[in-house]
Amino acid sequence: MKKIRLFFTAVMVLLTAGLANAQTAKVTGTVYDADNGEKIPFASVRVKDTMTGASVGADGTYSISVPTHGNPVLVFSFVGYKTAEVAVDGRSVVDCALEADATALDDVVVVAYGSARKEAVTGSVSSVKGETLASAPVTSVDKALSGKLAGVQITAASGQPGAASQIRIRGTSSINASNTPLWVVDGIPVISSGTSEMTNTSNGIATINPNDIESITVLKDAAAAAVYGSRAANGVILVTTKSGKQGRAQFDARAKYGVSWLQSDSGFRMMNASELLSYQRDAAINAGHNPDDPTSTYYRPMSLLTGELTNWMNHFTRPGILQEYEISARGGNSKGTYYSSVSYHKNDGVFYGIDYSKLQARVNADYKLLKNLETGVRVNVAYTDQNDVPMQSLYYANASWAGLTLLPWIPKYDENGNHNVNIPSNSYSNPRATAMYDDQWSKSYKFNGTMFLRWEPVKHLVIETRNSAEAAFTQDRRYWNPLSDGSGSDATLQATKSQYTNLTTSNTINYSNVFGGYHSLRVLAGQEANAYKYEYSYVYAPGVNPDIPYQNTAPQSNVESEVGFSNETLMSFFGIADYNYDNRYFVQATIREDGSSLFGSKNKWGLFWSASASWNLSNEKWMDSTDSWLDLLKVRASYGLNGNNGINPYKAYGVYSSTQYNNGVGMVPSQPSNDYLSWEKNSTWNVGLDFGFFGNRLRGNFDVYDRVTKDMLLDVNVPQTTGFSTNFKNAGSMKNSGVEFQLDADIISTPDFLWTAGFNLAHNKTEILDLAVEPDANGEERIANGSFVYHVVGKSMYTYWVSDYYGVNPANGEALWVTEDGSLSNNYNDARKYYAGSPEPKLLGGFNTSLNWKGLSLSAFFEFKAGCHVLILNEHSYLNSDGAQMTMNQMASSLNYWKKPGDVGVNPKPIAGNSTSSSTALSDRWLERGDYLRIKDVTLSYSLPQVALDKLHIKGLRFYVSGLNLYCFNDVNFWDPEMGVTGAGAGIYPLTKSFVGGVELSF
Amino acid sequence: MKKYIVITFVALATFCGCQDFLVEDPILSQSNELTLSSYEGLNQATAGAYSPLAAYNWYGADFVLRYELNTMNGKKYIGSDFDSGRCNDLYNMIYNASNTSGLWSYAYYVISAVNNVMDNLEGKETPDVTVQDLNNLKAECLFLRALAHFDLVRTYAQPYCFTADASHPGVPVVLKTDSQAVPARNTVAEVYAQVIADLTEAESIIGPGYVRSGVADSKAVASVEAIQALLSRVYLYSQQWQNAADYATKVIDSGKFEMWTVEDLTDAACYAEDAPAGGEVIFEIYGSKSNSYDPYREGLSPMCGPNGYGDAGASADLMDLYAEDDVRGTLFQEKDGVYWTAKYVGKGQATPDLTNTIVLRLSEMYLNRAEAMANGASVPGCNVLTDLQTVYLNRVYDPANAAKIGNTVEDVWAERQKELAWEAHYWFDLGRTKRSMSRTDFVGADAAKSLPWGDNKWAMPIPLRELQVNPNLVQNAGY
Repeated sequence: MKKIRLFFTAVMVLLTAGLANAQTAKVTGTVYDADNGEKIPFASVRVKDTMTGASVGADGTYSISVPTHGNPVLVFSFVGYKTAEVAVDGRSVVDCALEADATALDDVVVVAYGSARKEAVTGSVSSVKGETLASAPVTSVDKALSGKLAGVQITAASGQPGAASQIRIRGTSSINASNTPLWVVDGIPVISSGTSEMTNTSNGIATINPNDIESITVLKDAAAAAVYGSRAANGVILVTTKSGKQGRAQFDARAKYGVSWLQSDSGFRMMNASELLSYQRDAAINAGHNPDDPTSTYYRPMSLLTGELTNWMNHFTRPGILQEYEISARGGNSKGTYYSSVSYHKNDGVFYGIDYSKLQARVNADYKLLKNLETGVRVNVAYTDQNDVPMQSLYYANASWAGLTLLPWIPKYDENGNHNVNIPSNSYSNPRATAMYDDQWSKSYKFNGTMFLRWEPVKHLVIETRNSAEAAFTQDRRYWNPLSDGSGSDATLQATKSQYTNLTTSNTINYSNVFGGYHSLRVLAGQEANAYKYEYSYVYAPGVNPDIPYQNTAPQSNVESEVGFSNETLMSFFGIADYNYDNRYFVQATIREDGSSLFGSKNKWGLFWSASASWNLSNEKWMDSTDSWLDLLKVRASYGLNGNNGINPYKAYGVYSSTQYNNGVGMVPSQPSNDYLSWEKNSTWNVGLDFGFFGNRLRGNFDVYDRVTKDMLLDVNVPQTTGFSTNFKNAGSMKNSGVEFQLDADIISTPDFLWTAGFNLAHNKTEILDLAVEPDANGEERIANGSFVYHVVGKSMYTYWVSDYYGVNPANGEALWVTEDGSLSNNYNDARKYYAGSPEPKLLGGFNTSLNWKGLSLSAFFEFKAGCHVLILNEHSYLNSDGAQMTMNQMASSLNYWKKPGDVGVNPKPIAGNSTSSSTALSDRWLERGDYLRIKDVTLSYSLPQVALDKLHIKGLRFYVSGLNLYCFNDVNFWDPEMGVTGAGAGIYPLTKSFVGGVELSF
Repeated sequence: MKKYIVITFVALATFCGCQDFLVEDPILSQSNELTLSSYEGLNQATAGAYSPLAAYNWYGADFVLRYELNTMNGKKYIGSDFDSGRCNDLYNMIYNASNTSGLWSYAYYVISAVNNVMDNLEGKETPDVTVQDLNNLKAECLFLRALAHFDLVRTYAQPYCFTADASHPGVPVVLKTDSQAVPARNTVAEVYAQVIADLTEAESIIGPGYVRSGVADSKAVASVEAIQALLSRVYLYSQQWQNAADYATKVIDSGKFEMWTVEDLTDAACYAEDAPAGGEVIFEIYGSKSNSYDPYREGLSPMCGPNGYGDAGASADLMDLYAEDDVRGTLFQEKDGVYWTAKYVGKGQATPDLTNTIVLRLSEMYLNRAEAMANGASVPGCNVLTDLQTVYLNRVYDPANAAKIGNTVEDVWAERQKELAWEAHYWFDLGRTKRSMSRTDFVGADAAKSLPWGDNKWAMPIPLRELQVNPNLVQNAGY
């Protein structure tokens, strides 16, 4: 890090020194529109190849200092106009006429295999600009997208630095195949899953620097995505990174620093020592024990409070520290342009032993080889180093769990001042010792390189080839040191090395032209091939020498090792045809034929397609009268078929695996072959409306869709007379349907003051239609997903199935259960089970607003989910245990328990050693509304005005402070309502709050 | 331009190669094609087909526990220290389609595995692989297929004699692996006919001294005598008395087995052998910790003894059958208030201990022959009494007691119960001889205290999941 700072300082010093020596003269002039001669206010002018620049005033005039030597050239630019260059030629007045840039005037969005004017898009797409993403200091692009786009649900399953998100576009479409969208970066599909084998979480997308992103487009419906064929069913996220710009190099340097902490906004907390002691003493007395009797099982004397007391969660946490430094440069000339960046990011988690650092660099370069031949590269390299400690389960060494459970009167340190590991109630573990002595890390090197060549042999015809190599090498290690384990276990090592390569070639030929002034036509044909190879090796070495903790020192007869391979290939042919008449009527058709190694020999190839149309009413002649206030009114409709190929390789093969018997090794059939194994198919229709009013100051869209998954892959029961019990088959079906709404407004827009606001809202409903199972004893067609989440025909994707807890018996404080016949029972075993709700939100969305006054900007972004449940049953069953867990701390909410006849709405009477199952996990006692409204970020920033910049001879300087996840309005009795897509994550690293401050300098 | 031409060629080459391009074989598991394409693969696939026999649901435990706890031989000491809650439904005969023998999936898995091998043996001769080598594999496969079908039909169908021509429903006979097949139940007669056909063919093609190499226990693989011994039993069950006697004679006359003596049976020593060299064992299941289908704590040894769950005890009814000087009485001893069989006492190799499960042994051959002769079969130089004495004289301390034996079919039945108790015979012996089951030392549900012959419970229900996916299957009466 030191080196980067040094470099940065050196650059600054050199630049200032160079500028101080220049001799200058003053030039003035006017900038006007070449078409109508009107003056253009607020354009910018700069002296070519220097850092000198000025802004054009509201009257269209400017004044700038130019060097006296040589013949300086002035560069004039403004949004919506082509950049113009004019030589000064010794004049003191230089006027300039700017020509309107037709392509820039329309808002252009990146779409599949190209870009399109927003007006011309027939499918459902949402896009967000890079600057919007980068305005809040998030650490990865997936987190930046959260709540910004209608129908795109980003769920955090962990608050750990470097954690992956669960992304669902328009709901969930599959039980056994993938539910994550396809990520396409600069035209090439990339691997979005993380590479680590040992750490709690890992995010493949985090190697993309959010500041490198020019724009993101999410393709949501079949029309937009179908040309990605067998990978399009869950939507496609197109990421375009920044490319170079003609002109002198512009540097952007960024630095940020932040702190994070753990906090619950719902009032959740654990008991303190005196609360817990009083609770436990009551529980002991209720169980017929005397807590002051040293021979009692539940001996809990008041003297426990006189010793050292520990708030374990505080002991396990620290302020998290985030730091990030970055410098990028972009520039170029008429032949070539470049963009490059290098960034360093380090995030120390709030729990000891958890940190994440990343060093990343990018080079994007484009060069015109000939007038009609252009080439370019997009290269990103990243090194990530992730250290963590075990989380994601209720494990003793998990600080986020042990911090809740450890009793306050257990000593932190032993007599030697070391972390106390002699804690029988925590299986002789202490997460601080784990963090200090054990290893759990992943180091990964990742390379993405794409090269393209674009040739326009004749006008209107573009032939392009895009070739890419993606590779990652990852090394993981997990080491259990005897020092972190008071029970004297062996030193044990597990280590993996894994690597993958993903090679893609994508070749297209594109013809576009306008005939007779009204008929616009574009036809694209393409071919793609992709080969993905993955392999890993694993070694397990119990009993290594703690002084040399590598597998060589373990008794070799105990060392186990294994390797794994996973290879797949994809071959595709595709085409797109667009036609529009007079920018009023648009039609598009796409088709893609995919062949995949994943599927059965009889079904290797699949055909995917879409058809769509839109009508731009606002361009109709008879709508001319509305031109003053209506800019866009467009209706869209589309239908198409997408595939989902997200399954593990080799599922189609009938295979034998080894079996042991009679001290020999034989082979037995282990998987039936399925020559017909094929894609899951999603057919989607979508109807939408796009609108823009008052000079597009109020704009938005509305979509209604319905997507049906057919041939859903399921382990279907087959007659065992075939030799197998189940066969992985295309058998089920389900449906997602919903509506989406997005509205953005520039409420006040004056040169000095800009107030914008945006709002998006989506509703999605899932319904399982067919699971290819016979009704069970209760007549239910369902498949269990764990012990309490079910997939049930006729219900939504995830449905909780738990016992019906009634409440407490006001007479005696016992837990009561509702039985099958509706009566009440104090016996848990009599409780009826029922479908108690779903973790899927009925509504999700976000809103943002930003106020800009001169250089000062205040923006806020909110995200919400509603109509969902969470079931944090693992934690609650232990931490609200009604006395069953006398060696664990309890939640403060447990203090509200039955004390006297007549008490209602309280927890059952605690009884030490409670065996009534009143706190059993599988119960709706723990079901909570998961609705929340989160203040995702609030950012206050200040950009220096042009006058000051001119004085400093820099292009821009911005300071900001942000509060991230500042507050979350919710009623969930835990850290945070976001608990993963099943709403029941156990032992996860909670989401944290943070403050980040930063500075951005352009020169 | 040049670059573009190069790329065009690369792209074209990719198109042309795309059929191969789209094939990615699994590297770590072996495809069906590869396994079944060579003698080595077929040999391994044959060896592997024995593996599921050791599963809990077959000879690993359930096949013995179920059919002993069903009868007066077995007792679950409900409420004792050895009541872990296991085996309740077996003891109380609580069966329904969701709670029945799990043999179905394991037996058909073996049938499918051996059918795969047999379908691919043709033409696999090489200079190093003789026709006899291939025939030996086929004989092993036929033996396993016959054993699997036989155990299935014994489990899920009424005994052969339930109808005069055995035309009542048996189990599906599966001779070819077909992932789309939804077979109906064949009649019991058809199943027996197929079992006999498989065993007869196996007998005719197996090499005379052939034993699979590379195994720890050569009694746990097919041999010509194992095939003949099983044939003897199948004929006995289907009341083909002369054939039953003749095949028993073949095994007895092979000279490869010798009767255990009082000495061998003392402390159940012969039942605790790891890989018996001589003695009575003709075919058994080999217990080992390394077995892929090791039932572990629910294996016969921990289930039938005080060092494990111990849910499967022997009854006083059985104990009462053994005379004072009968060494077999010592195979059932009381400890901590429970009688346990010592036949699965274990091999002293592991905790919980391991045991072999004997399927076929020499005493049964004498008893088969004696019963066949009592029903009219004839074997030169043999009669019912001498065969019974061969067994009995090796079981009593005082040979003078041999005089106590009679020569009626009832005498054979009685001797058979005493000799083969807790080896999964008695239940089937009752059923095939039209006797009812009754017991007096019984602490279970009243309904399970006795069972008249012909009751629906003599056939286990077909598993529900199977009925749900195979519309051609018809459930047994009464379930």
